[in-house]
Amino acid sequence: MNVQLKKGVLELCVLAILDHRNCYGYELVEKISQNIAIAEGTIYPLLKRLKDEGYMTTYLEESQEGPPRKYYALTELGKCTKRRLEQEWNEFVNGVDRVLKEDAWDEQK
Amino acid sequence: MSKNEFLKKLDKALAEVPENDRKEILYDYEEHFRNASAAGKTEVEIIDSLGDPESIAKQYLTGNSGKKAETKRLFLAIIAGNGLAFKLCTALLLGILALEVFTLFHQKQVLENQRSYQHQNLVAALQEYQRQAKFINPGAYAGLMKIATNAKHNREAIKKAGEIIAKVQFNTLPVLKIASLAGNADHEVRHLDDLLVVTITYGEGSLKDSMKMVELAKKAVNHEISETKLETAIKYYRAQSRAKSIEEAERNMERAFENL
Repeated sequence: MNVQLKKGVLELCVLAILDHRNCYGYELVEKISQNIAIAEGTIYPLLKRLKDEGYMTTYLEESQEGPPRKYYALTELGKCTKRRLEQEWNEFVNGVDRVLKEDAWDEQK
Repeated sequence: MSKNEFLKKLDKALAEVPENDRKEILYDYEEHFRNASAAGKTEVEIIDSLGDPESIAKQYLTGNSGKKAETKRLFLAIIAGNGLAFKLCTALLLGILALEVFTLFHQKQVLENQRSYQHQNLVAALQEYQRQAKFINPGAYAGLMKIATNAKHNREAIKKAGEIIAKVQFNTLPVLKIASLAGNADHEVRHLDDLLVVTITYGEGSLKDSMKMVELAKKAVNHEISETKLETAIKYYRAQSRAKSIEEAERNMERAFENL
């Protein structure tokens, strides 16, 4: 899969997970890597960028297993962006789907 | 490669990143190692799934040199093009245009917020903090701007919150909560300033204690406790943070809350 496209999709995945509930970094990494094949190390730079650009904020919360964990929460801008990207993604997928189906139709002919 | 070697390599490859940022990045990976090994993974497995530290570092560096929007542009472009190769040129243009429009729209919103704001001085002060702070947390800053825009009272407290947020990366949530309470209060609460300072200076890293401070702020704003009592609590909390043993700290903390 194209690296740049994958990055864009990852951004949407992160925003979508956090739209559901606030998570710490490792939770996000696990959720994504269970479904998409990626180098887990690439998620943290993305998280930092999304934070720097104002899509989310972070806060520390104590954990029972040791030092506090850094949690990520969406800002209003993050929530809006998630909705916009999700819509764009759906349009994209549907478009690709239509193209693929047209190809199948050509072969049958 | 061991965990320490991984972190050392990452640190070295991030040499040109400002120290505070670099520390925070390394903290993220240390946290990752902690959580992954708690989940039963071995060091080798963790490093394997993380990927090469140098290419990880490269991603932070690309982000720093202003190419941040590149990914977004390409993503938008690909989406706008609906996968048809001959439309690629138009798609690229459309993608860039869409991003520019979005950025402009966002800037316009911020400007409008600022215009409707009556206390120009406060906004100027917050902007000054933004300029001074090298590692501002824009999410927290945006929240603060929103609070400042609507606030009628407790301007000093909100200004202080801006100052504190400009200095810290973590634990901005309690500060924002107190600032928001201060902004919505229909009267001045003198000691909110102190409370904010205590929240971060003494309660840093401990969300539990910070949340106790948020409770105090809530009570003070709703007139459930008096200014004097709030002052006492803050004093005790400061004493607690200087205590030599955990037992002493806990005793002081209990006394602080009994005094309310």
